[in-house]
Amino acid sequence: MTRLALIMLFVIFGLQTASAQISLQVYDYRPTGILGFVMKPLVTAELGYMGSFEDSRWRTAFNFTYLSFKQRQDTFFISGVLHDYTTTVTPGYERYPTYNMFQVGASADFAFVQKDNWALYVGAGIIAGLTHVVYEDKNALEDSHYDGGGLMAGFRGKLGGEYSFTDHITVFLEAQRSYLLVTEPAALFSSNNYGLGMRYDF
Amino acid sequence: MKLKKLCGWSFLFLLLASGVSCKKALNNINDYYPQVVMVSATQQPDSSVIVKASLTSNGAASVDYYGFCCSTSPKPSMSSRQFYFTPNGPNFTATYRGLSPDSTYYFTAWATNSYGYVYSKSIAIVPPPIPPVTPPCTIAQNYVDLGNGPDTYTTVSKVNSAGGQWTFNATTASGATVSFTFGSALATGTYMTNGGFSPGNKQMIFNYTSGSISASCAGGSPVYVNQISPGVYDMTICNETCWDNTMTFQYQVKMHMKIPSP
Repeated sequence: MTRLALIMLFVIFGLQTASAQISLQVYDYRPTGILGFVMKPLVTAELGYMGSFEDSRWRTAFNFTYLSFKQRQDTFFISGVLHDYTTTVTPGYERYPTYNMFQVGASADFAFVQKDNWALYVGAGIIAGLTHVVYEDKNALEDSHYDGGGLMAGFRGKLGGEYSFTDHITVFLEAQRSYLLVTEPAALFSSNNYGLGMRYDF
Repeated sequence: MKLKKLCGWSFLFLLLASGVSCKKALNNINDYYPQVVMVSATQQPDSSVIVKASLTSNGAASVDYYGFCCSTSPKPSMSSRQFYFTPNGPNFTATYRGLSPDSTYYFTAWATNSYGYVYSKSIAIVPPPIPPVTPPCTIAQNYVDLGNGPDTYTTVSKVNSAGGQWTFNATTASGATVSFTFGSALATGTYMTNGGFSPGNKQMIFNYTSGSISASCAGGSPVYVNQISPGVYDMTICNETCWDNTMTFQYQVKMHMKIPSP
């Protein structure tokens, strides 16, 4: 999955080498669902390439970002059920002292409103990347400790608007919704992201 | 064109998925967990304890189990003397039996859902003080009559509680030596003398040597013990029959003594 994503990224990037357009977006990454229960929201930045709507209502984008999550509490107290001669609900805990992600993404945007200096658009794309996770898990049956990496892949959708102040500088706002499948520990994560960015056309 | 179609369908999927599964994180993490309160812990005449609790919130997911735990330590663990139930209404109750009347017990309710578990505040049950026992006779402190007339205790040894029996000795002004053996720990209450060799629970044997006389108690008489301070006891025997080692001579014994702490 990662290999396929990287191939797509190189193809998309290669098609756009005729024009250099670098984008930088700072966004509020707000995990939802189970990820939102465990991890705090964070602010991070995304650097990449973003085409323009100058010649077409369609454009492509490529970016990468790094996320370093902090857990919302030191210890998450979980329970299990032990079936022996009797049944006992047993206490345990989990901790996630380290949870980092490196993501690369590729997407295509469609401007459903396109004017001379501004546009409104929607987009969708794929995400792939790597994780570094340290977690501890203790229950009635075992103590486990994991310190290692994993893979992740997912989809992202977005809704945004941009305004070109000059021929070179364009500012954009985006709201994104993403879903990630992570291999270790295996989970399906989701998030809402809200960002403000700038594209510079050379 | 295919790329546009792919992105279009991906976007449609994401919109649908967002509407179905979008769950914003709760601002207060404690809102994910259930909330449970201990309502009461009531000691019954038979020393059992009835505990009641109430589930006040499920949290962000349905409750899987709730129940009670109990320990002599202030923060009992969920699995300590556990009662558990699958939820059937907000209120739940249980009865603890077999508790020692001399110990303080802490009762705590707990509840668990898919996000984790919580404890309620604990309720402690402190055993009521044991009422003193009143002997039916009045004997002066340190008075002893081993059958040969009034005497007094001059020394009483400290209690030795090794091996599960409590033993101590005393000597009188006339030179008699009395040996006591209790079959269980000294505490406020009424014991019984035992004419055998090994006292059982709540029993005591004693024997003495006075000059050429060696005698031991026949058994069956009450022994009144009161704890007057930690480790210090007051003991009274109003009337006990003792036989010498030839089983020829009988002596009527009474005494009142203070037993020092070990």
